Amino acid sequence: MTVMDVLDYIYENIDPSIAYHSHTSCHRRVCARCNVVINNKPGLSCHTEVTGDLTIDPLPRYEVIRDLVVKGL
Amino acid sequence: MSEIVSTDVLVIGSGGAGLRAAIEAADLGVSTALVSYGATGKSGATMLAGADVTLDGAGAARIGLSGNEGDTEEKFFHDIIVQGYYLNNQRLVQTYVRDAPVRTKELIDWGIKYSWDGKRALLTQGVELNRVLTEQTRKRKIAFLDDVYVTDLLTQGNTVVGVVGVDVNLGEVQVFKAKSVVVATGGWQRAYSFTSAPGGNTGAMHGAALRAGASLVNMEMVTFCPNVILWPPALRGDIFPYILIERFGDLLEKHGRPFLRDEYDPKIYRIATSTEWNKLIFSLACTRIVMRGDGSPRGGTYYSIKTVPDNILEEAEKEYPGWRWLRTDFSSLMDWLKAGNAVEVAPAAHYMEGGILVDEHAATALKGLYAAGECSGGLFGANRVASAITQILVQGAIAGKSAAEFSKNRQPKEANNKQIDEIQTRLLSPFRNKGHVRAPALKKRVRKIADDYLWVLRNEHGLKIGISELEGILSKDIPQLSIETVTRSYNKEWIDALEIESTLQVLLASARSALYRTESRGVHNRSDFPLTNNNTWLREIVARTVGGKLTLSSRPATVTKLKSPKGKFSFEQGIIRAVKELGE
Repeated sequence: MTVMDVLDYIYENIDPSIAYHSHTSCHRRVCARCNVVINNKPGLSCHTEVTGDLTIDPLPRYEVIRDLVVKGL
Repeated sequence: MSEIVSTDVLVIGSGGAGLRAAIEAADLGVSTALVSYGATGKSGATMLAGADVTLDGAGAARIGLSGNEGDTEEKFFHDIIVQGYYLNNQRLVQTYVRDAPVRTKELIDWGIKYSWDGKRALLTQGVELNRVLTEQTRKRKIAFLDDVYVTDLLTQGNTVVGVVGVDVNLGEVQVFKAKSVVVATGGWQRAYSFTSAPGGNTGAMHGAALRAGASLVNMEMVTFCPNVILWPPALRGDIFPYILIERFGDLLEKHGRPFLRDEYDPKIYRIATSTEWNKLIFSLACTRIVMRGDGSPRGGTYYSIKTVPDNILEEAEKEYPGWRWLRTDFSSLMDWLKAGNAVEVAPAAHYMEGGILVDEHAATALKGLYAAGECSGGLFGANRVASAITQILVQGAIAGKSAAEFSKNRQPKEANNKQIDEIQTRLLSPFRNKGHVRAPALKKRVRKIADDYLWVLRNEHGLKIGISELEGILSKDIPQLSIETVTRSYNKEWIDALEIESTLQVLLASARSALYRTESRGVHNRSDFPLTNNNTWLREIVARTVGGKLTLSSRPATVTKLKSPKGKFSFEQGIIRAVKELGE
């Protein structure tokens, strides 16, 4: 699963209020709007595959709109 | 609800067509605003394109490229129509071939990095095209509005006076007043589960146009891009194997047998691997393999480079240094393929030949409403082979000009407050509904209908089931759609709920058009009507809302010069004949 897959799963099955960039996500590593911090390393959620424990944070130094969505990406 | 802007020209969508329309309008001296569902210049499919810009050889020579003078505009015109199975609106094709050279020249003048294939294609990358166009918009006085989901057109009688949208970050319904509107919102690929297109390509404006009284045309015509990666998840949806197979590699069925040469005549196989006609030919062949039970575990086929000698691969790597393409490092995929493995691939919903009905000035049935690029229909008839990048540049410039000229010396018309209130009520209804239907699950359900019944191969039985399910959802589930998420800011549940309603209307227009066309033509393939019928079916299918109901009709294809051959023929016969006509 990618981090985006994990977030989609949470949205669909656990908590539909979770906010993460997806409405215009290119899903192909080009737009970079899905940029987040994954286990303390910045990365694209559409492209980073994960297993095991996962901590996701919004990018630092950007104004947070809600949850993982930041302004200016 | 706030009124955000009042402008002469409002462009919706910041892919290539929208960017080019905004540039044109601004250059003509009218106030111009550009609204994007996402971030300006980071939305839409343009940046994901290969990409090529096509023009005729003589035109290329005139603008300083080494083109063949004998390859005329007339020949290019003819080829596009043959490729489109003669369904093209020939006035739109005329405009495309006429303006392709000047639109290509200006890209070069604007500093685009490119190579020239010596024939008809300027080769670049979507991100590079986007960079150049975005840079040009920043040099002009244009108001940029990001992260706005435009949902509805505002009209006074038969004239467009603005739009209503939702600011996604604030969660606020907003009004944008404009003397003219250019829709440049791309295709509606995201109505399907598996697509090469980005999240914003939802067809929201196709739905809005229908509701406001404009027409949609050829909605049954959908190109599927074959060889799109199914697995691994990090690369799912990527078209790199499609890019590669034009150069090398095989398509295999589940036992590892290459099947294309068995499925097709060698002439067709050659066309399949050397022009964009391959999208149609490969997609059909792969679909047949899967339907026969010979597909891969995830419902596709395989792409393999096992038969390609190492030194040939080394040569090819010079074109993609380090196997990097479009900001992605494909080297681990290539290592895996070089080790003798095969990657699972499948057709993905890719490009819409149909869309909002326009004339050669980008005008629609509504005064002040223009459409450009993939969201418009008719240019490529039943099958696009020539460049969609040329389309967005040519049509974008024309739409910007038409909109600017319409808005000059015109007083702004007042919006109808009752209409605004009705729209706002509808947009906010998911917060008030008390039903049990939820957007996340419903979105998946709607996509599955598109996947099951509106895919590469269609038939009457499936289409009727699909239509019935879509209508059922519209009438029963939408009024019961309520959302749990109370906060307005970046409320994905709410935005999904809004998207679903438009998607349903677009899919209904497409499914009903697919049912109406009782033949196969180009990318529209009916297993129950496998022949192409030039005696009765050189007609475009038009969908519009009449008295609140979706109504279909047909009109003859717009012919200016080229008359089609008569008769009925099979898919293979059609390709072989087209190959002869194209002089391949």
